[in-house]
This record gives sequence, structure tokens and C-alpha cells, in this order.
Amino acid sequence: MLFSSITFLFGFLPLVLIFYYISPRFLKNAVLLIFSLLFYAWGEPKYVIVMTVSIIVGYVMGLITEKFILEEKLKAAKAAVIISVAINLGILFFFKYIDFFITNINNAGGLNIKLFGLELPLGISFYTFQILSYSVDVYRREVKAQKNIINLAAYITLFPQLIAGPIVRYETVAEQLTKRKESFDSFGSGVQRFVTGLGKKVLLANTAGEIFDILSVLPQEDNSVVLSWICAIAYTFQIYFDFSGYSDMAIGLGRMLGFEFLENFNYPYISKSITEFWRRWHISLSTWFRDYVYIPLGGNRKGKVRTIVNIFIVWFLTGFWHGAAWNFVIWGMYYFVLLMLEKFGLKKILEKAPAWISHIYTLFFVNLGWVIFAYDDMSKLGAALKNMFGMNGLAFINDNTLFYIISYAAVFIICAFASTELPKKAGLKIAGGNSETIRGETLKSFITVIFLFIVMTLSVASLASDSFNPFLYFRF
Amino acid sequence: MKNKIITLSFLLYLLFFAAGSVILKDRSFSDMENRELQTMPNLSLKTVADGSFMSDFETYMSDQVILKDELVKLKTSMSRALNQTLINDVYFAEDDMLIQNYVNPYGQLNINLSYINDFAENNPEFEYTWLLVPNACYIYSDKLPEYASCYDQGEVMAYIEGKISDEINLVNPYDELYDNRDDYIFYRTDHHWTMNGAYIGYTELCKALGVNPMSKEDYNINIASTEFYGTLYSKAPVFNQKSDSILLYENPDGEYKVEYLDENTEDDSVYTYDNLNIKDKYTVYLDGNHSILKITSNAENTEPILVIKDSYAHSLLPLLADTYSEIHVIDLRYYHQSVSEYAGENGITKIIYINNVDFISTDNNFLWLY
Repeated sequence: MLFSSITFLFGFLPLVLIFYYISPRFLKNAVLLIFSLLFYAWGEPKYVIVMTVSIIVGYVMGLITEKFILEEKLKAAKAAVIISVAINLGILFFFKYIDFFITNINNAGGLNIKLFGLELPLGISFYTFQILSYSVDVYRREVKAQKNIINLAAYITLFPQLIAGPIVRYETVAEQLTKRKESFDSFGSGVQRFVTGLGKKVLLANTAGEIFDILSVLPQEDNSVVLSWICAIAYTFQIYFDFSGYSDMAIGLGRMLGFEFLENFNYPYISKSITEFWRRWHISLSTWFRDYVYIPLGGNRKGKVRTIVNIFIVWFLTGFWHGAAWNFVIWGMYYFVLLMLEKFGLKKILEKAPAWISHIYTLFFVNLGWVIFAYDDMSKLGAALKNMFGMNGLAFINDNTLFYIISYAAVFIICAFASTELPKKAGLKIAGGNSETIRGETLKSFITVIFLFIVMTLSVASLASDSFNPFLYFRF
Repeated sequence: MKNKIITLSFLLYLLFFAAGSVILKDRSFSDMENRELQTMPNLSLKTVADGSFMSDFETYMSDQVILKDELVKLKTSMSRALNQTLINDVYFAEDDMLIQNYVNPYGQLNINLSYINDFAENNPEFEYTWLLVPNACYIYSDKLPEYASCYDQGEVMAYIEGKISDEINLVNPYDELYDNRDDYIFYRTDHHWTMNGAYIGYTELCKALGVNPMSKEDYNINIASTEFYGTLYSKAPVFNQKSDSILLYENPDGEYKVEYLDENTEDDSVYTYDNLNIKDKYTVYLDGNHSILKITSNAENTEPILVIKDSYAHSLLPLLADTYSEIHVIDLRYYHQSVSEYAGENGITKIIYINNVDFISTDNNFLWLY
């Protein structure tokens, strides 16, 4: 089920809130678990089993790991955590990557091994990473093993973050699982966050996505160099508002239920370098790779060569995590190269350069990166890149281009504005903070409610008119 | 306090839509969108296992949501407010006119032309006339939004003229339509021509057939409705859309028998007045789409003719019925038996195609022409 659907908004969400809030404390996690499983099973009932297996393995091995640690049998503890990691990674590998490997082996060796043709279980890359972090953290003694399987399962399956992140670490919510406190403050701020995220997804990402979907299949005779850039920029906006919109909705829903997740996006498109971009984009994923891959490999403590190798591994895996196709690997490698360039000199130049140059540099390469990301078909990717750089004999600009500019200029301007911190700052200035007088407080509440009402209603209107509403993370 | 107000407003909002959509009686058909709506799907092990329950339920929720029609208008109006002029393949043109987009047609067009040519060559015993009507996007191309790229139907007409078999007399009413373009010949909210447009097509067709058309003075021209919102409005509804009028050319001396052979019903009028009360008022002309029907009248010319048509013919046939006393009408979208046999059995010598350019460019039912 998608958050951005009438079924979720006016069916699932009211029900989950009612049952959650009428349940006594000791049942709340069970209620969440049941509704989360329902939420998950809605799209693909049979894969609930896969997720259940992963959870049980994580739970049992967590207890065993801790038991061995307490008995100071460290080798046995290590074996237990390795088993847990291996089983969970094995499941992920099987469902997500097996056909990719078979295809490549077939192509390389001229073989004809049959493909499994499996559909990817929804959210498997997200929840597997959560279970892995739990297993490793127990082993590192950073968290206590969860004794109650319902609590652990409620954490893994928690529907706000189940299918599109953020990758919530067990340590973030360990305490909240048993000792959280729901309040009007957290609920109200959750509503604001959720509605903002819904608007980002439905009003901005879906509109940008519609533009991309039209322009990316435009016949060559109607296309132009400028239009192929507009197409790429549309995708750049789509993926940001889609992904960060989902994270906002997840964080907002979490707050409505008394949870506090960490931030996942921090205005990535205002970055002045690629390094900065990756500190602001999908933070839960980058920190996951840092803490569970880069640092265990030795990080930067084993000399320059090992550091570069470690960074290479991280970016190879980051790319591959996003999908079982070569373009994602290339996309990861692309960022490896850019980050290395910045690490060894470019960063210093950028810091001295005027801000607008650094911004343009960053956006240019990020945008180009999304083109690589957008096309898993290499020939389409090649054609898109050639179009953008005038190597396909396209006109620079044509009437069709002007038509799209006139039609979508407003959308692009809104998207650009919404990519910065300005809307948030303006909002805080107008309706944020505390007022001394009751009248001031009422006015601020009123303004906020009106704003939320408009965003929510426009989003519902878009969803009700069966318009374009894709889910981008089936590959993750 | 602020968060308390926000929380309560949000819960009220959810309650309004959730309870409203539950309490409201489900509709099985949307007049505005002119389509069947999803009703509550069956819950069973089978439908859950194959996922059809879930996907139908999602459609059900969005189809039956309270204020659905207003929400759809809000969405289109929002896109309009952002200066978008092409929504759901409909252009918002000057003078409150909605115009259907038209794109490069050659794929399907060539297929259709070869079906029509083959039929003419295989059945030389008939005389063929083809009235081919250009669409609003061509006649009003200057009213389209700036830089809009409707494919040039002038080029397409010329292409068809070059390709079409010599057996077929192609009638192109473009010049006359263009000369009368300010006389309300196309609807603002529908993809059809009005009866004013159809009258022009009718006179051009008569000229080509060598018969005298009825003059406009012979008719009482009545406005049967001023509240018509057509198919283009359904695709791109906005709050402030100007409605259309339905014109009827009524011949006080005309006597008709219309036999709807597909449903075995009969009517003594070429107009189905009851349909003025439904949303799709264009069906007032000969009750909309029928696979086969036969019109007999008191017209002077008794030579039986066969019309193979799309819905542009619906508003023209009432006029043609005052010129020919026996008209057989076939719609290839629904009539899938042999046309040549039918024509032979009914003593037909003249076959008339009535189509619009968009239809001949996109329809894939000409394979039933055999």
C-alpha cells in the first residue's frame, strides 16, 4: 500500500490510529505489528513469509549472540552474528540479485541457465539492512538483545518506514519500543510533517515524474537538446521529492504513533560539493554503509591505498543496493570517482570558488548522475546522454520545447524553491515558534491549519483523479 | 495549543472523508467521467491470494471517495492555474474551447487505408464516396495554445488523397467548414462537430453524390439543451467551463422509421429526446452508438444506401434521411459480420463512408471491413 493513496489516507490510517489509541500500552506494539503486516501483505501477501523468516532469524540469533557474549564465548558470538548476517544477506541476494548474476553469467559464457523470474519483495533492501544493523549492534554490545519478539517484529515491520525507509536503526528506537510517550505535540508536528511529505510526493514528484515520462519517450523529431535537459531535470526533481516526501511521511507517521526517527534528507540540492551532497542525501543509507561497511573495513586508519579501496567498496555496494542492474553500479562508481577527485584536491578549489560556481558544479553532476540512475537500459541511457550533449543531431530548441517550458515553468520554479530551506524558514517566521498572546497563538495555528488543509486537499484531489502515481522503489 | 488544534483538525479531516465515503451511497456509474465506477469488490480467499481484491479495493476507494467530481475538477483547475494547457491530451484553446490533441497518425492510418482500398478493389460492384471530416485541432489550429504541436491534418488529408484508390470519391469539407468556422460548427467541450458543422458536411456530401441537399430554411433549428458538457470536459473538467448547446435540425415534413437492428427496437424519430436528460447529450442523435440500424423516410430518392461511419455521422444522418429514403448504417467498431454480404442482400449500390480524421488515424476496427 502506498501512503499516497486514498485507501491509505481514509481507510488504513484512520483504522490504525483508532486501534492504536484505544489499545492499552501492553498491546500497542502488537497492534502496530498486526497493522504493519496487513500494510505489507496488501501488495504481496506471499512475501510476508520471507520477511517473517528474516525477523525470526534476527531475533533468535540476537538472543544467542548476547548469550555467548555474556558467557564470554566471543568466537561463538561472532559465529552467531555471522550466521544471522549470512542468512539475511543470502535472502536479499537470492530475491534481488540472482537473476542479474545468472543473466551476466549466461551472457559471458554463452550459457542458457534458466532465470528464477522472482518479483522483488517490497522493501526487502530496507528491512534487511535494519535486521543486519540490529544483529551487528547486539554483537558490538551497543544494544541489548530484544527479548520480546513482538517488539522486535514491530520495529522491523513498522509500516511508516517499512517500504521506502528511512533505514531506522534499532539503537534509535530501542528505548522508544517500550517507553515512548504519545502527545499532542508529537502528533501535531507529525501531521505537519506527514502532510508536507504527501504534498511533496503527490503535487511535486508526481508532476515532475509525469513530465519525465512524457519527455523520456519523445520521438527524436519532436525532441531537442534543451528538452532533453528539461527531461533530466524533471527526473532530478521527481526522485528528490518522491524520496524525501516518503521520508517526511514516514517521520510524520512515526510521530503520530509516538516514535522519533532520524532525519533522512537535509536539502541535498543546496550542496556546494558532491561530498556535501552525500551528507545530505539519504542520510540513513550513507551512515549505514559508513558504520557497517567502511569502518569495519578499517575506514581511513590503514593508509591511503586501503582508504581508497574501502571507499570504492562502499560506493560499489551503494550503487548495487539501489538495483540489480549495471547502470546502478555505474552510478555508484561515478560517485566514487567524483568523491575521490574532491578528496584529492577539487574540494579545496571548490571552497575558494564563488558559491554559485560550486552550486552549479554540484547540480550539474548530480543531475547527470540521475540520468545514469534513470535508465537501466544501456542503449536508452546512451541515447539520453547523446541527446543532452548535442551528439544526436537534435535541434538545440524547437516549438515543442517552448510549449513545455511555458506549460511547466511554474512547476519547475516551485520545485526549485521547495528544494531550498526558504519555504521552511518562511513557514517558521509566519507560523512557527511560540506567541506571547493567545490571539497570536490562535492566528499561527489558524495559518498552519489552512496551509495543511490546502496541501492535503490538493493532494487528495490529485489522487482521486486517478492521475499518475508511481512507486519508485520497487527496485531497491 | 497549536499542535492540539492541528491534531484535531487532521483527525476531523480524516473522519470527514472516511465516514463520508462510507455513508455515501456507492455510485456504479460516473456521469461526469462517463465510465463505470468500481463497486465494493468481493472478498474471498481467491481474490485476496491473486491480489485482485486489493487492487480493486484501491480503485473502489478512489472511485467512491466523497466529493469525487469536485476533487477531479480541483485537480484540473490546479494544473490550469499553473499554466498547463495540455491536460489528458486535451488542449485548452482560445474562446473557452477544448480541443482534442492529434499526433503523428501514419502507423494506424496506413493500415486503415489499405483495408478501405482492398475492400473497394474486391467489391467493384459498389460506388464509393468517403466524407472525411477534419477535426477542430486543424480548423481552429490558430486558437491552440502557443507552440502547441497538433499534427497537421492538411498534410494528412493530402496524403490520404494520394493513397486512396481511384474507386473511392473522397470528399473533403475543409474549405466550407473553415469558411463557417465562426458559426458554432464544433463543440467547445466535446470532440464532435455540432449539427451546424454536420449540415455543412451533409451539403458537401450531397454535391459529391449529385443530389440536392435540403436547404437550411426547410428546417426548424432548435436549441434542445444549453447544458451539454461533452467528452473533452470529462477528460479535463474545470470549475468555470462554459457549456455547449445541442442543436436539432427538425424537418416539419419529415416522416421517419428508425430500426435499431442490434436491439430490435424502433423509433419514429431520428432524435432520441430522452437522452437530452443524460450527461452524454450527443446521443440525442440516433441514440448514440449502435452496431447496425436502418432509417426509412419519406424522402424522394428511394435508392438504398449503406453508410459505414463513426460517431461524426450521428448528427449528419438525420439530414441525410431527408434526402435518401432508405439508409443502412453500420459501425465497424461493433458490427463484425460481412459488410459486402449485407450490402448484397439489401440491394445496395452506393456505399458512403463518414469518418473524422482522428478516427481514421486511430481506430483499429477497419479489419472488419470484409
